[in-house]
Amino acid sequence: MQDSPLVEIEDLRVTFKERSGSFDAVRGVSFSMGREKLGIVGESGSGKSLTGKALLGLVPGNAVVTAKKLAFDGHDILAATPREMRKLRGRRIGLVMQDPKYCLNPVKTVGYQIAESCKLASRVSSADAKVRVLETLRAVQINDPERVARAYPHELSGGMAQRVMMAMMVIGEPDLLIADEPTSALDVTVQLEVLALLDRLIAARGMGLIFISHDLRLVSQFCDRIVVMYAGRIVETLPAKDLSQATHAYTRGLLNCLPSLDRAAGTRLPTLQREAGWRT
Amino acid sequence: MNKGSLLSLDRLVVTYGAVRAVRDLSFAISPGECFGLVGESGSGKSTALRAIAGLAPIASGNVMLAGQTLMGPRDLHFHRRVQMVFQDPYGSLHPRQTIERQLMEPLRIQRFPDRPDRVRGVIRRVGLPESFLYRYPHQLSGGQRQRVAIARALLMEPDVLLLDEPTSALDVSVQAEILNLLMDLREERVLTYLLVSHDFGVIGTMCDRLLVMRHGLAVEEMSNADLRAGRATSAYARQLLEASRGYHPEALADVG
Ligand SMILES: Nc1ncnc2c1ncn2[C@@H]1O[C@H](COP(=O)(O)OP(=O)(O)OP(=O)(O)O)[C@@H](O)[C@H]1O
Ligand SMILES: Nc1ncnc2c1ncn2[C@@H]1O[C@H](COP(=O)(O)OP(=O)(O)OP(=O)(O)O)[C@@H](O)[C@H]1O
Ligand SMILES: [Mg+2]
Ligand SMILES: [Mg+2]
Repeated sequence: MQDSPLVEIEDLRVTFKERSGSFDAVRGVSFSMGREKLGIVGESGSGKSLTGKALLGLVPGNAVVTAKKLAFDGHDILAATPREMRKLRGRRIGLVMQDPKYCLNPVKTVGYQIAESCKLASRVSSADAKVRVLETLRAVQINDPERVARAYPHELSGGMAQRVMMAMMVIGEPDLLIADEPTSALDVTVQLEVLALLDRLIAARGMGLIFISHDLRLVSQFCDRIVVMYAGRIVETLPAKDLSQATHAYTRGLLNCLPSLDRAAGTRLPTLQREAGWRT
Repeated sequence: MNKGSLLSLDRLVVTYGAVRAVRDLSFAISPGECFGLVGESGSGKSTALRAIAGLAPIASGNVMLAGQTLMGPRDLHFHRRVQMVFQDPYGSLHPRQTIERQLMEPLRIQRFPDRPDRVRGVIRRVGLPESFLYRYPHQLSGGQRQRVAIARALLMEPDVLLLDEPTSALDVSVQAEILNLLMDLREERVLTYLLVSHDFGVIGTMCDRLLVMRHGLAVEEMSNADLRAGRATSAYARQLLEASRGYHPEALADVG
């Protein structure tokens, strides 16, 4: 297991062909990771979600993806057949999408959808899957799992939908979980419980986690390593606990924009003076 | 009830079948005030906003705007005065219309003049290039979609903005720009905000008062000064403030 890293990305590029020319959304991202917690932070539109989707072969059809290397546990993602990709997605890699309500099937109950993803990952009877569904919903801090399992996506609150999507992805106990803003709609106490659940999965199963988030403090406390993205590139990689000592001007500027209770109420927040030089 | 208030809820109850999403909620917001709603996921915050916008089934209680009880479907005049930014921007945008068309349409319905100029102006104010007007929602990142939803609400130049987690998908630098924009607008003209957020930094920056909710009920009302001083009287509000200090084992022990 130690020989090849869980994820290897070298010079990943995602380009959209548009009438007005082509637009490079991801411009040469490289990193590799093992069974660790890797945080990705960065500017809105900098290519974080696309990087995650590229690992699952889920980039939109009008995009061209290239890379010197794009591998999961030794599997070449760019060369994989659709069938192989489906197998990887169902059993070994989970993706918690940024817009959970939009990604869930609107005409199937939540319980049905989580049970399907459980059955896809391992051979279980429908009855066992049902039990596992309720357990997993409880683990993501849903107080009334029976009701929620019977509910349709539009009947969920924003934070409940996020946790349902999380339940759907962790129930298969993947080797790699890509979680795109998985806790942005959760109140702080529920958020802590969901993070603790992820920590348990990582400890028990040796799962690797890519945690995309705008919550700088959370990422620095929860993750092992942080990748900072700006305009389609990685500008800085650093140990999570050293985030406050970041050296890149973008990262420093970002930290400076955090709204904090130390600043007087009603006063304008500092903003970022974006420099052309950051867009290398 | 509260004579001076612009927007108020009086003993609001919203039920979906057996689910009591909002059980008994009252608050009153003065003109020009920014009022925050925080609380447990699933506690009824979005439902309260939707009820104000006429989008949730009110079982009992009242919603009042400028002294008048609102009933039935909301009319054009309401949408001119009150705009909402939904928690889920994807769901609130039309998937098969360009951003430009979705921004132009409400302006046309409300018979605004200078529509193309307004649309270009507002898209720039939320920090997006004009070229994005010709895209569809699925061609944007999460935070870009959220900014389109904010732009659409601002276009109407409303008196009241219902903001449901309006910056949850934004990095902190873009968030700061949007929050500054909201503060500037409040200074330019009297604008009243009802803001839902899980981020106490955002609430503390923006809000004069806040209400902590749980299980469809109001738990505790706090002033901005209370929030900053950590003066919470209820156990739940204290727990929330404690957890907002971040991810560390002690916080978990408290919650557990
Ligand atoms: N289908 C598409 N067509 C054209 N451009 C696209 C498409 N999908 C995404 N993009 C662009 O690619 C860039 C990167 O998008 P991505 O969703 O990866 O951003 P992100 O870093 O996740 O941002 P956010 O934090 O706002 O979610 C954005 O500028 C976006 O507008
Ligand atoms: N259309 C609906 N049908 C049935 N139940 C619903 C419906 N809409 C909301 N609910 C329920 O009402 C409760 C409150 O939901 P609401 O969306 O108001 O919560 P919230 O406080 O906004 O939570 P979050 O912070 O997670 O967004 C939840 O239990 C939810 O499942
Ligand atoms: Mg994204
Ligand atoms: Mg909500």
